[in-house]
Amino acid sequence: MKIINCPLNGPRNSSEFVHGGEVRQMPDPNNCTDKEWADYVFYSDNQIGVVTEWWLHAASGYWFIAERHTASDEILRTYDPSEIYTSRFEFSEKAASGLPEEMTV
Amino acid sequence: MSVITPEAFDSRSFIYRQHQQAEFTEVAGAAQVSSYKGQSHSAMGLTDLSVLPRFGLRGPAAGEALIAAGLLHPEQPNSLTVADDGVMVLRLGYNEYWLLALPGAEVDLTALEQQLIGPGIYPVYCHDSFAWMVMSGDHLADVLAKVCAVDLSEACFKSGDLVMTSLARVSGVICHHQMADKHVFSIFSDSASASYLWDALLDAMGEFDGAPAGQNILIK
Repeated sequence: MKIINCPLNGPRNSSEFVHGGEVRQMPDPNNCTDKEWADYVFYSDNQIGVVTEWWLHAASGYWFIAERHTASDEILRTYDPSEIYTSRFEFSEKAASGLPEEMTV
Repeated sequence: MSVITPEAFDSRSFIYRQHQQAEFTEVAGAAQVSSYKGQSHSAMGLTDLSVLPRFGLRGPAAGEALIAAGLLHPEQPNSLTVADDGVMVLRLGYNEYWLLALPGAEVDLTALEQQLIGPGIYPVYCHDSFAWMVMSGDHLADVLAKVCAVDLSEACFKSGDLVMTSLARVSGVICHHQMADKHVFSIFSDSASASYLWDALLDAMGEFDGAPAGQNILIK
């Protein structure tokens, strides 16, 4: 069994964790194109190398960030999201809703 | 005196049908097992306290509110305190707290719940969604070692500690504290898996002379 070191709960079996996708910079939802938004929501880079990912410790409902090498599957570092996210993000309502800017296929 | 049965109340334990030969007492508008008929003393006991009152709160202001209300605040994440009046406070992670009344405690948790509201505090419903089981006896760590990967021996898991992990393959919270001068493990798990976990824990306790027990053994 692989062991993942949870920043809150300590070392635990990997079966207690759920992968949450890459940590990425969110484009401004009001001003980005649909393609940019789709790229943010649906696509991942899928490169060999160190990726920064969201992981959930399911037993405690605790989300944290892990740096993992996609080839060796070694987890290099785990830390609390407060190291990156220092304030709550509030979504503002879009000023005017118009037609879709472009179609994504 | 009429006999108290779980069916007489709208609020029931998730596993009330599994309590065979049980004698009940009324607690907080529900039937709580006080003892089991014809049972001789067993070395280890498993008690279902799911009907006992409890509530939770979380948010950035939750910890300060507990201190302001004069409650014993667990200073470290994943730890707990038990006050003399029988109020147990669990700190789950950084900003979530559960408040529970131990068996026999005469505290008005409803009034406390009304008091602990305000900006930056959000309610957590842990009463109707979680089962509360208490394991007592001399082989707590030995039993849990069969179903849980975390080291819960006395050296690593002291009284006042809690862990959130998976036991018998379901997620749960395990708390080490004392009731009636006995070391016990309180186990909280999702109500949907309560029936399975009750049987799984009793099965694990079998080799250590384990059996269901009423709340009387947990009251001084």
